[in-house]
Amino acid sequence: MEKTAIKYNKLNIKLIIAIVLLAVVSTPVVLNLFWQPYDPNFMNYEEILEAPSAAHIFGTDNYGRDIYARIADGALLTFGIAFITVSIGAVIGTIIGAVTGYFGGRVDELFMRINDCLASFPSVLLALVVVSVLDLGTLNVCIALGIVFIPSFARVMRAEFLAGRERDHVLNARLMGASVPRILFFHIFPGTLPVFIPTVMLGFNNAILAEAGLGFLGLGVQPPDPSLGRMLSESKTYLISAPWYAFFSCLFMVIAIFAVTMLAENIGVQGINYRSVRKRISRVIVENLRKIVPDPGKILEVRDLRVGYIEKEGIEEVIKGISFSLDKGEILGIVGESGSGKSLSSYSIMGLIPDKACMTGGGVYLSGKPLNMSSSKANCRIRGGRIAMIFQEPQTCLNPVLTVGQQITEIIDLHDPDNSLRRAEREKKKKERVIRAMEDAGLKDCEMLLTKYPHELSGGMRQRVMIAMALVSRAEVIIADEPTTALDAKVADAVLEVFADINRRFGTSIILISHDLKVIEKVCDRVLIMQDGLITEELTVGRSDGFSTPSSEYGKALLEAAFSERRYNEGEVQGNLLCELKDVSVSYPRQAGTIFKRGKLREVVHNVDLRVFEGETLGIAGDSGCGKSTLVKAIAGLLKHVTGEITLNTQTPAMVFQDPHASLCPTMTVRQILEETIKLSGALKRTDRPGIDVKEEMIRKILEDTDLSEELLSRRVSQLSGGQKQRISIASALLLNRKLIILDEPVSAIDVTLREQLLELLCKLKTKHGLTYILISHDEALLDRFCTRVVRMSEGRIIN
Amino acid sequence: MNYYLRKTIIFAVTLFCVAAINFLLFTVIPGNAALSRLGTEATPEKIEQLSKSYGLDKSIPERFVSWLGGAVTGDFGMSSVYPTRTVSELIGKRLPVTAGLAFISLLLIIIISIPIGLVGSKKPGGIIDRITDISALAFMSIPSFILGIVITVVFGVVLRWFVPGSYTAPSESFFGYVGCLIFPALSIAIPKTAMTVRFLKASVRRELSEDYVRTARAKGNTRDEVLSHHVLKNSLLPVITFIGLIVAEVMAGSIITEKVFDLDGIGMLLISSISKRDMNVVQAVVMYIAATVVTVNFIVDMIYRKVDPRT
Repeated sequence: MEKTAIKYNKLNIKLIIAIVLLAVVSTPVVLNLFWQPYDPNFMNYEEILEAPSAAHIFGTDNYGRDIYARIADGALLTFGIAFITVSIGAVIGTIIGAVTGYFGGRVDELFMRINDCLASFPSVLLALVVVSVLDLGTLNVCIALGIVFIPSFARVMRAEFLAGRERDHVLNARLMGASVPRILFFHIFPGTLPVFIPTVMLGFNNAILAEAGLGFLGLGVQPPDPSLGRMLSESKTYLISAPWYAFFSCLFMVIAIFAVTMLAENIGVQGINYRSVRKRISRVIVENLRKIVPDPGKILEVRDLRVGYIEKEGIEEVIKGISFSLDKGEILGIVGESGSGKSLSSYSIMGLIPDKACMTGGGVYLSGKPLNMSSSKANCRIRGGRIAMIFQEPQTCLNPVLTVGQQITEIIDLHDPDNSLRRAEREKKKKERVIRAMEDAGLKDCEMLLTKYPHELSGGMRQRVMIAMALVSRAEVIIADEPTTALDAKVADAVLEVFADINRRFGTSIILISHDLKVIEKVCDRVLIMQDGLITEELTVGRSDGFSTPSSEYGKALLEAAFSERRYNEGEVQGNLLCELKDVSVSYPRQAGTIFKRGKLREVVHNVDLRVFEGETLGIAGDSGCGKSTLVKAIAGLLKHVTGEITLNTQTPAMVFQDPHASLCPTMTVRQILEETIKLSGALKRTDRPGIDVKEEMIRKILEDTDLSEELLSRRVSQLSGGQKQRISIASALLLNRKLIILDEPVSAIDVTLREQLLELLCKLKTKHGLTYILISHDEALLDRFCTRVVRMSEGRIIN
Repeated sequence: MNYYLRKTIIFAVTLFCVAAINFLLFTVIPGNAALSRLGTEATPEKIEQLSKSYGLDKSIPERFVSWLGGAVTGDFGMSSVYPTRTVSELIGKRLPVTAGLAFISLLLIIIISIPIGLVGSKKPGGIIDRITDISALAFMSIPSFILGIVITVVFGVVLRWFVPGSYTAPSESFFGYVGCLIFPALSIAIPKTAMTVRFLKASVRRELSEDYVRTARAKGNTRDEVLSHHVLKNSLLPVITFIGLIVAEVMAGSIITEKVFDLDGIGMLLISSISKRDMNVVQAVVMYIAATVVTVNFIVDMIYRKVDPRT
């Protein structure tokens, strides 16, 4: 990747400060273990309350004891108490959190209620009470504080384990038959570390503060032993006569807490100040821009645009100089794999580059005028006024706390606030405009929709609201970034039709970004193919004859993959019944219940009957959210609230998930993943040869089967490409030696050009090992080519 | 309406559980002030007589029911150290101090932290952002009693803006009442303010990375307009819950602060009762504080429900 030559500070200064401060505080404490200048409890009545000097660097206290020696000794005790306290809280809290979060159900509800009750007692108060129950003493202080810390740890860890249990690689481990403790602490726990470690550190701080508080109240460590809390409370009396006493004990504690908090917050955080880097780079770009002469005839022109992410190693360009222009009334498509830079280039045109990225060269021109060169109000107003953008995720791109009406009206307020009319009249006129725009975007019952919040609308309606926002200001250019990807096939077609309609009626120029050539073919006049940050090819799209012939290899591969006719499902299948579902319904908990009442359930799969025969490839088609993934998870036995009858005439199926990154345990190497699978599959028990050979042989064979090289074995998941990861997932599923394999959108996250290879591999393996597949996909063309039988699901039911 | 009914039931159940935990905690404690005060004069008859007068001869459930019944009507029995005073009397006299302290602290936290947090979030990576971050971190690291001591010395001893340890009842002079509590309240409020500032900034930062912010920018809002029109309301929502959680800490802070400033509130009463093992009083004070926390959080839940259209 190219790096732009600009130097910036990559070290996290805060982290360094934290480590230095921590070293300053811990040096005396560690030193104290080997050497003490004075006995911390030695009283010298001739040297009472002496100011700091060479003999006593921090001075002496009211009994003539050396303050330095007492601080070093007291800090050891305080830190020790804090350490033990946090250990008690963290260990017990994590166990409780793990068990309740993982199993859920009534035990969980009960625990959380008790936790809520305990949280109602302020921590110091609870510690006070526990100390008063247990009597005073250092150990009791530890126990008291430890108990106080359990609820907060339990709550944090419960949330982590609750989220962790639904991750694909954890589901996979369950399917393999891993034991519960192994899943909890080997598969889920490592993933919680980014939360666990800071929580422990902050707990440590709270423990120091709590000990100090107890010490101040005279209920902590008992005299004559020093602790930071005790010393602080004793020093209070001599604040005027001997300020150094309080000053040094206070300073020591404050530095310790400050350093630990800073460390907790900055572990693993990059120290780059993105803002200043962006500022410096933009100065360079403005210089270079003067050389470019734009063409005022084009409504939108992009010239040698370069955008890069600000990384630790330097600026990594992901858009490496793209140029194109848009004519008035044209619909231009941009197509490319995820990661090719197509979305980022659209954000750059809008001036919406993410904070961690920056433009590193080139310019964007609207009718010959440069865009995004300043953050002035006038410049901001071009967005939404003359160029509008529609985003991919209709679920999240509307503000959740404003009504639909408020959000569309905002555009009018921003771009042409007509102040000539009286208020009531103005409001009426605005409302008319909003409703007209909504109707143009294909919405019905607009009057009623105005007062609705986004969460009350369906995905398709929300996307239409976004389009209405673009229409209400009569934008000249609309950029739509994967506008139909998150929508059902039927709704997607209707939304595309709206775009074509707007283009015809208002002459709006549209840029349509998509990964799907079929979407592009429906509405675009011209398409740019992006690959790896560059525009590699431009094709024209005819209404009747489709795409013009590509000249590059990549273009050919892309087109071929999108319109591939290759079939994998020749021949009849006659097998035994492998799996039968009778009247199966599956529900998810909708809201948490109470101890007395079960939480409400929402049924997502209703009364499904299904049969799977040996040797077939059963396709399940359906839009996102129709319940197809839920249904197969139920077949695999991963879900709780399942009614009806599921008969499996074979072992539990293995599963390959959509996102290969999520379905492999991120902390293990490929070898560890495969070895664990072999161990859990029980294959070693079935042979009488020494285990190690068999294991190696199996691994070698499976890698060969899935066309992987042995070099990968020592790599971790993050070091593999998407295609490799998916092959490892398949390898792992094969190793389990199950007859039935469930493939949940196995190729959706894979580059189009690699899909065919993967499908071929799956087909080959099926014949070789005599497997049965259940394949889930939203892509019906793919199912038609690959499956021997296809059923369709819609809204939780099988419709044919 | 269903939601409010359910929340109210949960609220009542939580209060009941808190009471039960509280009661059990003190029932398992060995020793009773009244009995130990008998000392060497303890004869079996006297112990039995005294046990009876405190109701100790009954079974634990029976005692719980009668204690709970009393607690609901505000009757926590007699103090075992001052046999002529009821627990409610002891607490009632000191309640204005602690209640005032907690209320003023909470008010200070809200008025100081929200503007600072918002101004600090305006330019991520900018100078104000960094200054507010570091100073909030520093103030969080100082225990409130140290702040209390510093405030006493600076404002009480050196500047003489208030007299440490003095207290004016609200019935005498309202401004005098606020005046004598504002400095102690400040020592509770400062570390919590720092925490709230950091929480609010984190909340704004999280919201700024949401998709709707990108939409708002695409509509033509300037960065400042995005903050005030779109992010503000979304990022303040979690702060409501956070302040509810802080209430517990503020109550705890007042226990220590009363000791620093020599204010005779229920915190002081708690400490002295613990050392005298006057368990009836300790139990009642703990119940008061916990019930306040539960009630405030219940109210906060209600407010949240009203403000957030998604719930």
